[in-house]
Amino acid sequence: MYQCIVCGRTYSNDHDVEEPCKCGSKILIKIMETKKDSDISFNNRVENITVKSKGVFEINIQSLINKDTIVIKDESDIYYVKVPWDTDE
Amino acid sequence: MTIIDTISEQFNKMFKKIKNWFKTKNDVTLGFFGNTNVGKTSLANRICADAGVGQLGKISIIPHETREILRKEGITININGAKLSMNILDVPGVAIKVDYREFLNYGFSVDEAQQRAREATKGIVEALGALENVDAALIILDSTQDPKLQINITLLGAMEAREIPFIIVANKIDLENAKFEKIKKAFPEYPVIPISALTGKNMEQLYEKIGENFGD
Repeated sequence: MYQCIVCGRTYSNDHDVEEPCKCGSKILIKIMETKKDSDISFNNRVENITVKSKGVFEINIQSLINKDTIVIKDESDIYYVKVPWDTDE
Repeated sequence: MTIIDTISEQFNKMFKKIKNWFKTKNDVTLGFFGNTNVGKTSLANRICADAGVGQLGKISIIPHETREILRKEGITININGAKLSMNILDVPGVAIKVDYREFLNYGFSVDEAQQRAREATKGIVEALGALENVDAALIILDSTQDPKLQINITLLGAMEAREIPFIIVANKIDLENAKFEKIKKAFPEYPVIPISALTGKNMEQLYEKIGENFGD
């Protein structure tokens, strides 16, 4: 799999690396995903932090980098949204 | 992209340029980013020691030892006779999963480990937020690990997208299984400096690169 280093868009292994990303970036990097990384998929998820159980967290780094809003999903599938203008800890 | 987006983008670039004109060397805030346990705090401490100021943070083999941003201002390093002053932001290590069970092997109780995991997760959020507050960055990699970890790729992408100048620092070259060439080969477009924060090996080379890339 190839990934654009700027926007994070991914392409399959048969993608022509000479062809730029849809965002215009020309830098695509071949990704050899580690088992640990590929165990967690955040595709189409609204939350960027998932509480799997007490003391176990999954973090969607790409989403946290791109958005100001923090969305936490707890063990009971309840969502908590921390908006950028919320100053509470 | 609409005309308004284009104008807005151009305006932001111009504003950034104008803002930079009024900056002095003292304004350079250098962020230390990377996976956990790659030696960010060891490197920050090494730079502080070389600059003759006190230690920045505690070093430990326990993952997520740094769980909040550590800041040291007014670090001055001499580079080939010139002086570069900077502020250092040592940010918590970034990870895609924090599991309290990994702390249990280090003697923590379940309660302590769960609290530590909560703090580590908060630290990761703060670390990524710090991207907005740095002028330049060191992306620190462990030379004994696979360089193409998702975390490294994501961090490089974030730097590119924000136009933050950065240097990749391949740390821990003192270890027998270090493979600096693998990192160099993985990221041929970017400057990669091999160092050992532990022994101080190649620190001069890193300072020269910092001066070249981030100095005036």
